[in-house]
Amino acid sequence: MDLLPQLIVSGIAAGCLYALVAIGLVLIYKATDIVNFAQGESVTVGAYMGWLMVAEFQMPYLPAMVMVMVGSALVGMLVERIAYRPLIKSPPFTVILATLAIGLLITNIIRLIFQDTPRNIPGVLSTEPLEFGGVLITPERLGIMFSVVVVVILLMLFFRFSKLGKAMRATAQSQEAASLMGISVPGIFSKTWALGSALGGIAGMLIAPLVGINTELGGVLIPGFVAAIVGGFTSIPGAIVGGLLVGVLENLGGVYVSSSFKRVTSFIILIAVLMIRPAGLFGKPPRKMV
Amino acid sequence: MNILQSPASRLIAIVGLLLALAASPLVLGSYALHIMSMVGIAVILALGLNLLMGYAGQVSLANAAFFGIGAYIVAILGNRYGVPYWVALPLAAFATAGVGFVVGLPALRVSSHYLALATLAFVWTVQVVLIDWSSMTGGSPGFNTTREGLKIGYLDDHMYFVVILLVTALMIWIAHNLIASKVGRAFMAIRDNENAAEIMGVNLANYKTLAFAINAFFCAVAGGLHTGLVSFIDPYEFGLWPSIWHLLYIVVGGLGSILGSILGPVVLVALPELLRAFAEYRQLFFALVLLLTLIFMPQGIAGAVRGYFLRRFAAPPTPVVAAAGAVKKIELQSRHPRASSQEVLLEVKDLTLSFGGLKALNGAHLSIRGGEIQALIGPNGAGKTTFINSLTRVYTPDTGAIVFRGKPLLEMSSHDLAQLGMVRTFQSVRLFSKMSVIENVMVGMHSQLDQGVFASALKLPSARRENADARARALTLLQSMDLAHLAERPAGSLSFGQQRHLEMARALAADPMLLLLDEPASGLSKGEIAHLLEIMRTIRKQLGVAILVIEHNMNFVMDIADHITVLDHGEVIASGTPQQVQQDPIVIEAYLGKAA
Repeated sequence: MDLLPQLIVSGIAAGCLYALVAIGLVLIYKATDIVNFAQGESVTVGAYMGWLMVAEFQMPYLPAMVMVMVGSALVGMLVERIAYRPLIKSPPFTVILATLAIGLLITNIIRLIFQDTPRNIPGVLSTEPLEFGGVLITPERLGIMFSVVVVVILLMLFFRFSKLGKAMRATAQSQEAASLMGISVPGIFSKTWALGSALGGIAGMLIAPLVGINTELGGVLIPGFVAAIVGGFTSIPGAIVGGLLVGVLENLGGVYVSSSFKRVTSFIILIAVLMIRPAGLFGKPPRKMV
Repeated sequence: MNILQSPASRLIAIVGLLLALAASPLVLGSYALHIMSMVGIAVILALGLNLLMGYAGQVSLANAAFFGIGAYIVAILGNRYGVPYWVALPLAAFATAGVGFVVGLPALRVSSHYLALATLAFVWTVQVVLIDWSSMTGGSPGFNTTREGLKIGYLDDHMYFVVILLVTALMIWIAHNLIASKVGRAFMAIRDNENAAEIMGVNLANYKTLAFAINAFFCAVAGGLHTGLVSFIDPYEFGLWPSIWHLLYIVVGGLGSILGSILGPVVLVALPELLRAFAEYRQLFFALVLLLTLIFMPQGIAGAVRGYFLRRFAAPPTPVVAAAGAVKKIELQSRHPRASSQEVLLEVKDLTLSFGGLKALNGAHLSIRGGEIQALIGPNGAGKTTFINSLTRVYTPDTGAIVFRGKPLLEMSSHDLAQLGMVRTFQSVRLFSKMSVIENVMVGMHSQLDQGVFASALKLPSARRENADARARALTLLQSMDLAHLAERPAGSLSFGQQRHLEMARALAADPMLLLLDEPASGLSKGEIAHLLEIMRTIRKQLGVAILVIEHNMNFVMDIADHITVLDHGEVIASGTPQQVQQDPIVIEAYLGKAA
């Protein structure tokens, strides 16, 4: 059996989740010029929330997912309130550290509550692989891809047609003009952080059945950061393409180079992008302003 | 404080302190000995980080990786290859500095967030390598090492602590020397304002990568000392979270402060060790301290202490004097032979530059002779600042030629210009606001100073003399600008008029043959403008410096200029003496519009 198509397809499944994390990062960055280094923790929070809802409270999957979104959105708002708003005039370095710090804080609070016992969300879909023209894929992974596609479509509709979505786009383009049009810019910031984190939370819930839940789960989706950079950090389509690309390349590197290479593939991609085209595939090259 | 003023008594105080610290474990016991050893190592890490982030202003999360590389190189060289410790340690430090140089390369193209991500990627990759390359590094369980294996010579724990203490003292001294040198000033200048630093001759690429290399050097020295202290090296001590803990040292201690680099580790290493019973909460505690410090004490302990003393003991700020009196003689020895008024200093031909569809410059040209004061005027949007930005190599024009003292400028970079004898001031003042007034002027001398990194770090007599001489010259220059009494103040605390004068002093310190002044009179009071005119005349008369000035204030221009070039829509529409230009109908039309 040919390995390549198989690797590409399973890479896409992982890539979908990276894309989701990356979109969350891009949304926040476009609105506030800040990379949310606590995004990984919203993934972890999402996974634990999902476990609570599905395994503990026996909630059906879809309502549980809504709860996960709400929960991780609240975390995002909290991060914005603590690590961003009081430091809005500080140098970027300070805000970077603050988001890292609050991420560390969240991880440790989760650890105190749930201890280090690994947990899992029972999957709703079968793990029995199906075959499509020689490529095997489990319904579980198909379900992940399908969910991500639905979320992205909903997101596009939200930005295109809802009042809040339009206000968010306006704020990302020009805070001043948005504010003059009667949009509360701090309010939009807070809601954007909420939305960005909610996307991370969904990714956490979706990946949980595959890899299990522990406090380090956020680290699993770190390639999502790379995906955002590959995509140019200001473009949602870029984040999606970046996510898929990283997912696929990682799989290829893991098989064709060495299995430990899989863990560093995304960083090698990152360094290559920073060296060759720091603006990413979809970003505009920065112009030096004086 | 006064007691410590003389060098001899300061030396005695330092030696006394070191002796007391070296002897203290005899009283405090072996547990304190261990903690104090760890504090020493942490201080070295903090110094390295502070040089990179606090002074050079570059964001990095790579420090734990450099720490790890240093630790492993020393361990592997000693235990596997029998290289003596005293050879392995400097070897590791310089090798890691080389790695640091490479890691710093992305810093030339990207800033803050991306740099944080790139260095984060580096930490992650190094850790994976340390864990996965188990044949060399011992892999996940770690690397067993002994002091016998490292060939340190016979040292018990106490003697090894004394070694750490001495190395720490040495590294503090080196960091201190660097900050007071050309290198340190270049770092701070880059941190405070990259553009202005470049104009003063600081090569951004060289100094940014140098900052990373120095950071790596310090981290590796700490790593090597760590190897001698522990019995096995744990690869999990070199990941992202350790990097953040190290950052905490300088955030809590104080960014951009040597004292802070010492205080931070003292508080943060000693404290959790004392709270050992709560080990489970260690990370939580760290994260909380970091967050609270960032929000409530952004200057760290050192900054808070300094702030307290400033408020408590500092003299009240001197009232701003609009000095309108005669300018004192400007004392400055020039390296350049004085250009004669016949010699063409700058020749600009056919400069064209488009931004998208907009032609900002369209065949603009001018030439300046030695010692001439020429004004470049024109309505808003005429392309005046774009013109200066093309001269200073911020923009590369689409076509045209710029020749300065016979050299084609378009083949040079911004940081080459100061050396050639061209400097500028900015429309909106760009000082190095956190540096002191006198340091600002000393950055202006950057391209005249010869001291290298090693001479600076070790305070060799040549570097010491050069710095003392530079300081003396800077002070004279400040005196002639009426700023000498503010020499030690942060430049950002000056009044606007004083800041403009300081910017001029900084430019003069670069010993220019051509000075470009971008709207020097804007925002100045009448008295200050008179003073400025006086300064410009003095500069020309005493130093023979030619001046190209952009200005909106017509009285000012007519008063000072020998020659005026008028720019409109990127084209030169007139050029001549003030009288000629004033009567030129095309100029009048451009300014006032066509008569109906």
